[in-house]
Amino acid sequence: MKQHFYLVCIFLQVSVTTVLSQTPFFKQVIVNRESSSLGFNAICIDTNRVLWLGSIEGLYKYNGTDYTAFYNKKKGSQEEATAVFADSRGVIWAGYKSGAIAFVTDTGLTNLSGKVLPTQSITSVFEDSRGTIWFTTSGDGVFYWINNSLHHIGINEGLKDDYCYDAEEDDAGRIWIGTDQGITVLQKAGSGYKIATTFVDQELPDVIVRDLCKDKNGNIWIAMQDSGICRYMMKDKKIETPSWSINWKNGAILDIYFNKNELWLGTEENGVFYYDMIAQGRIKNYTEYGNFTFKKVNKIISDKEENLWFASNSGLIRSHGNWLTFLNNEGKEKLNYVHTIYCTGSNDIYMTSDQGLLRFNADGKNLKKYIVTPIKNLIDIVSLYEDECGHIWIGTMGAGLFRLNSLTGVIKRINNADLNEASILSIDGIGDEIWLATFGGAFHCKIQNPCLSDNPEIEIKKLDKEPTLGNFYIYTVFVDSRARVWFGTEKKGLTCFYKDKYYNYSIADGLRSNTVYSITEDNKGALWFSTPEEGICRFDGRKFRNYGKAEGLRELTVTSLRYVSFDRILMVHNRGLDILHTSTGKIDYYGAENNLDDINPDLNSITTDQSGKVWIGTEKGIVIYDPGLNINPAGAAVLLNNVTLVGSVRNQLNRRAFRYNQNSFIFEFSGIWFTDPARINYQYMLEGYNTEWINTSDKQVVFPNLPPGKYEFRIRASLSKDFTINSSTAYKFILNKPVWKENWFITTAILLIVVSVLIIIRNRDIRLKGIEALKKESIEYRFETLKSQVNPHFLFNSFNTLIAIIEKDKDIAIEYVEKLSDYFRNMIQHREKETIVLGDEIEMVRTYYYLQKKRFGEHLKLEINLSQELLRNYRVPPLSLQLLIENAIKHNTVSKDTPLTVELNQTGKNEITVKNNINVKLTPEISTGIGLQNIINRYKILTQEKVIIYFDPKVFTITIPLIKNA
Amino acid sequence: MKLFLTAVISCLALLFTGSESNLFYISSVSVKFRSEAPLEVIAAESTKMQGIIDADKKNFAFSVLNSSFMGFNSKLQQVHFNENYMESDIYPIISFKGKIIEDIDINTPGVYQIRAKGYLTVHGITKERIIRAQLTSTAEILKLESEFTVLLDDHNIKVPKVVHEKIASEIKVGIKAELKRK
Repeated sequence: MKQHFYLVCIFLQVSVTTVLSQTPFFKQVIVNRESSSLGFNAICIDTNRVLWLGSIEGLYKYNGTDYTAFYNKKKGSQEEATAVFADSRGVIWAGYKSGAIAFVTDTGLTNLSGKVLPTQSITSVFEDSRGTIWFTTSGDGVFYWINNSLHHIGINEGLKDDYCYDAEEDDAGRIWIGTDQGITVLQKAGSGYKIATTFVDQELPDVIVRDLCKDKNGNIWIAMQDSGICRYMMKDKKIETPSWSINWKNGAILDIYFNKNELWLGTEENGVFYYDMIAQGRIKNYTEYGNFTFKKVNKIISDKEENLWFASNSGLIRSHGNWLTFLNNEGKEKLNYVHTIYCTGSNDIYMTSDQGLLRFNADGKNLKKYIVTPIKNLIDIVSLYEDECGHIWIGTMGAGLFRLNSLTGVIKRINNADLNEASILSIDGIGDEIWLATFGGAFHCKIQNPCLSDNPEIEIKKLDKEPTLGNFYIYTVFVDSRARVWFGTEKKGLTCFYKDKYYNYSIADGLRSNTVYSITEDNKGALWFSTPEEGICRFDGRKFRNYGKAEGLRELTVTSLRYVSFDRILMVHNRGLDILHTSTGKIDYYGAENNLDDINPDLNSITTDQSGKVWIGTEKGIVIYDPGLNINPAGAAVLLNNVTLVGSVRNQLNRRAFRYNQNSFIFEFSGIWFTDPARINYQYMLEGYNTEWINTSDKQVVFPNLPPGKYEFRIRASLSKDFTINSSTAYKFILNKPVWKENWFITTAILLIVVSVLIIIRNRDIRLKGIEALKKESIEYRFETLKSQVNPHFLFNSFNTLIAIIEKDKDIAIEYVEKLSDYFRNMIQHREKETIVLGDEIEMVRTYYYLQKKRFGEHLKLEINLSQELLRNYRVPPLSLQLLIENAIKHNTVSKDTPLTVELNQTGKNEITVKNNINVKLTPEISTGIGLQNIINRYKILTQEKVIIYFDPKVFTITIPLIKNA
Repeated sequence: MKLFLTAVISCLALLFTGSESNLFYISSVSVKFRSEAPLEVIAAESTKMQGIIDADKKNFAFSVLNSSFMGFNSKLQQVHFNENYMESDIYPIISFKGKIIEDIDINTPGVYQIRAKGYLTVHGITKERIIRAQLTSTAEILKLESEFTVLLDDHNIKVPKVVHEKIASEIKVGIKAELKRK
């Protein structure tokens, strides 16, 4: 069936409108709701991805949802923090307006102290490659911190000026200091630094150097008060000014920040500037967004989520930078309600809004407008395609097919009875073959003599012989890299046309839905399909792999799919756009927090330009995603902040062992995903207690009364239901058993008991044996005593004495016999007892002395120097003293020449000493030895006090302890 | 208060001892400020600013009493200026002191574009500022001209939402001064 063309209408309008601009999104982030207008002087990010901010109210820590304020204890108030820095060891440094420097540890903020301290406001903190920390001050030169001490370099040491703004290190390890009077470059010399070189007003466009920043080529970029930017080229050793900075009229530049190939500048009065180092072009300026302005931007940083952060006087601002931009037009052409968008091989973007067809170059220039007016109404264009001649095919909703000659601007209807009132949702092709997806089935077009004229012959064929492609809704057509033609239909599944054959795929083949909205092909040749309400799926030629909620999709109705570089699939849906990393399964989500809520995108209103950027047409306008600037943004991270015991506030995070009764724990954690903290889900597990992961939306878990054991508390965060792709944080600890349940304790205790029982038994045995022996000895002793007393000598001597007395004095003789009789009676009376009162013993001693005295006369002396109190209250073993005196007489000669004197003295509180002089008998009596030893032994069982024997050639003393009356 | 101001200036003068011949004092001056809000333009002027420039050390100090500003749209406005915004009973003085960054010789006649770096104190809040000025020297007389802006936010001057349309957040300041060598 041959068709011919006729001209419907030619309307070419060249609209002279302002240049379209791609604007990043800026969001004001309220850190402290109590102080929402708080301005920030400084910002840095630590290794845990937490932000640290210097404000007029001091140092703030911010994780996306909560902030912690760190007050400078020394001042006792909220002192203005002017600089913050996270060094490579993880230490956070804060510089204050007063010149104070503090660092953050587990216990809070600690001020640097020492002899050398800054007295003026700290303007920046910087760490060089040697780990030395540099502090620049406004009026007090620079300070550097090395080996825990602070050193000063000022104007006296050769610094150009004491008013310093920033420090930077070049590739040669030299430290550049920007001051009010130019730049001083310091070089390491010995333990200190020397001036390597300086740059003053002869070399610099402006001497006031506000910021320094090294680029990836090692050149130093210099931000100035009034002259914009210049840079020191290391290779040429000279300073040059980039062309865009010549005639700079935007005031002081406070910060230079390189983010990949983007250059960002923060200024004192004019917000931020942006320059694309690769595309170059114009420098762009942003000072406001929505209803807030940010005129003074002090510091710019980026995070791992590819967010840019601006510390400004009007608060903290987050932006995507240029990886996600929105096309703006200040002219009259509205760019919203974009039904379709298409990029040609020459990088021209065609798009349709309610106003007709617009064309402009991808860089935003050359805006042109075409009006396709068939009869009366503006028609609704829903699909576009560039054929091999560079002509644009225009598919409309209900008004058929048109073709635009992009060079002449001539638009002609492609006339065909089946197509003239058709709704053509999608057009794709290869070479001279073009396929149409319409609400009235699929069509195949073949251009016979393509590029020769505006009126080629086009053969159009409806594919109604194919059962799934007849008069049905076909949403999309896609020609893949192997020239297979794929049709996505309503309720009829997928149809593939390849080498004159049709292949159908439906739920039975593994698809989750028989309706297919969008098709794309990845770089491995696999096809991806999106469905309404059933997610997306991948087809590798053999089987379908589906992605749904379980795989982390947040929206199952995906209106457009597009493969982007680095194995990613871009999904566009009503709530924003999500990016699936096909190799890892990770998904990046961008929605309301990224200005992408309720975008209501039309089906397949998406195109990729020649630089790889993806243009997405939505109800709110055109969103441009640059995958090259957003390669692998970090997902959610989780931090364990606090481990506390119930009833205590102390953070136990650094402690790993707990007592048995410290068994109720509270774990507090927080997630980091600045893009949209509310999306973070948490799972936790206490290994050793829980057996599986537990979902929670709280940021706190309590474990009361844990039994003793080894535990590991683990938490992980995710932006979807799939937690496996994010890393987790763990905290291991041991809850000890109570001491009495410890094995070592039980073993030791049993051992101790056994040993003590054994010792007791053994001691008892020994004692019993001792008593036995003593009894035996006692009996022996008594026998010996008796034997000695009744020994013939004693009697013989006594009787001889008696004979001598009888003749002289009868009365004395009677007395003598009575004493002798007393002596024997007492001996018999007392000898059975264990102890007797000292008085009784002395009585016996006196009797014995009386008897002996009659024999030896004045040559034997007994002196008893004992108090009555002692005699009454103390006891001794019976016959012990008497035995000692008897021993003295037995072992010594008693004569006129050698008198024997025995003294009984009290020598201690409860001891008496028997002392006699020594005149050893020439023929000593054989000693049984039983006497002395017997006394000693008897004492052993009576008391712990010892019997002490001392003698020298002249004196013999024996000290015996006394036993107090019971 | 005037006495106090004189005392301050004298003290500052004492700081610059040893170079008396190179001290320039303000002999006549006009300080104007202007707030251009959508609904109202407020402007006032003071001719009572005192100040000193040390030509040798390139140091300077200027100060002016809030109460010396005249020419408001109404008497009530002046009262509001002093009582509500500047809190003149607590912070009576605006001052700016510091040094000239450019390496110029003030004693040599000529026209110099300079930048004055110093501490600007308004409403008790001190901010470090770099302010551009033109200095015309005839060796005996210095003419100083400068225009700059002061942000209310910078100096913690709170303007109620109701009057936001009447008071600009940026106040334009213009100074013309003549200084004579003493």
